[in-house]
Amino acid sequence: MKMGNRTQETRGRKRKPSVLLVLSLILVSGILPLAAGTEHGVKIEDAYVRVAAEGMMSAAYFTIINTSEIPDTLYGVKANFAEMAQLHKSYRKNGMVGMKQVMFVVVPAESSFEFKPGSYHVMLMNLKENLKIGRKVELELLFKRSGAVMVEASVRR
Amino acid sequence: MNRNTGLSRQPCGLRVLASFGVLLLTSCLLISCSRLPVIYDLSGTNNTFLSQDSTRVTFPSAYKGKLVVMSFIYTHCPDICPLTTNNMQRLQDTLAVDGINGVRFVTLTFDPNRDTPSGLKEYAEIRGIKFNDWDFLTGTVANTDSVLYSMNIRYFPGDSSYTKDGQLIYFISHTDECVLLDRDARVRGVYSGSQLDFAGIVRDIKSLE
Repeated sequence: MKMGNRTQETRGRKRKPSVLLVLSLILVSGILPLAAGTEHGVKIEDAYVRVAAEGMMSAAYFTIINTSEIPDTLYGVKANFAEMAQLHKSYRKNGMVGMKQVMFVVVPAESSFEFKPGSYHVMLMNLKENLKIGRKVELELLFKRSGAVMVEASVRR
Repeated sequence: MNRNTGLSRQPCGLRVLASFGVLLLTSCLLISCSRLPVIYDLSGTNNTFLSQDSTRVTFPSAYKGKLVVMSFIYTHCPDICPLTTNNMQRLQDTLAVDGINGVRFVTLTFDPNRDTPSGLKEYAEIRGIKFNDWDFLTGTVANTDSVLYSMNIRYFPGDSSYTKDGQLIYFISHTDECVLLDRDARVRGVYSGSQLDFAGIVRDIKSLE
């Protein structure tokens, strides 16, 4: 019995350093913050998508707040309710309006970046379902440093 | 000398008064005329389109005798055109609140190849648009161009992209304008569609009522 207890105690003692080691390795490698996303200091506010019918296009808008001391880069968006999602920017020139795809957007340290109508937006192409006013949808914003950040967006006019 | 001077003063004063009156009247007439000058005259044109209900609509004769607010969009535009559509909805609501009735709304697509009547209907219905005084029109490229060019509205293909299954998605760069037509199909006001001057267009509508 005594021997058995001693063995269990020894096993318990041995387990603690190994758990700590694994956690330390995770922290050092940066896997944990990458998975959590918002832990890096990127916060998303006022997210919404434009009302649109299935098969059509919509746009997503939001404000990225980077509270960290390091710039971060938004390089992609995933939306399972659309066939494709791209970063775009609307422009105005000589009375004409149009759009251009942008590959990424850098959010400087301790600042914010707004995706807003008539400017930067996420183009949501070939919607797989109706986006009716009042509905909520999920977007996954892909950041270089913060990783994947999930956002809930409401559908608005 | 004095008498002559006095006699000559009276007609001169009358003349000055009369001249002033004429000047005032002319100014008033000029101001009222130039307040909303005719920018484009579409009264001599006619093009047939299909509405969201697939009803044939001859533009502009179908709207003769009515004030028309006309906007231009394409349904695959996710950013600018919805702003224009939102502004038209807001204008429709504003006019209703102000008790201004009888203004017709017409939206013509830049993209007749993709925007079918049913597509336009879906686009409008999901936005809760009231069709009782609003038509969404689509037609051929030729009659679309004919109407657009008569009002100096321009458009050309913009960026394009392909879906995973190879389907082409294209966008259109276009003029960001909406227009106000009087009862004789003459354009009397041109405004930004996505950044609409509400006070300005409501004032102009009231002046044409």
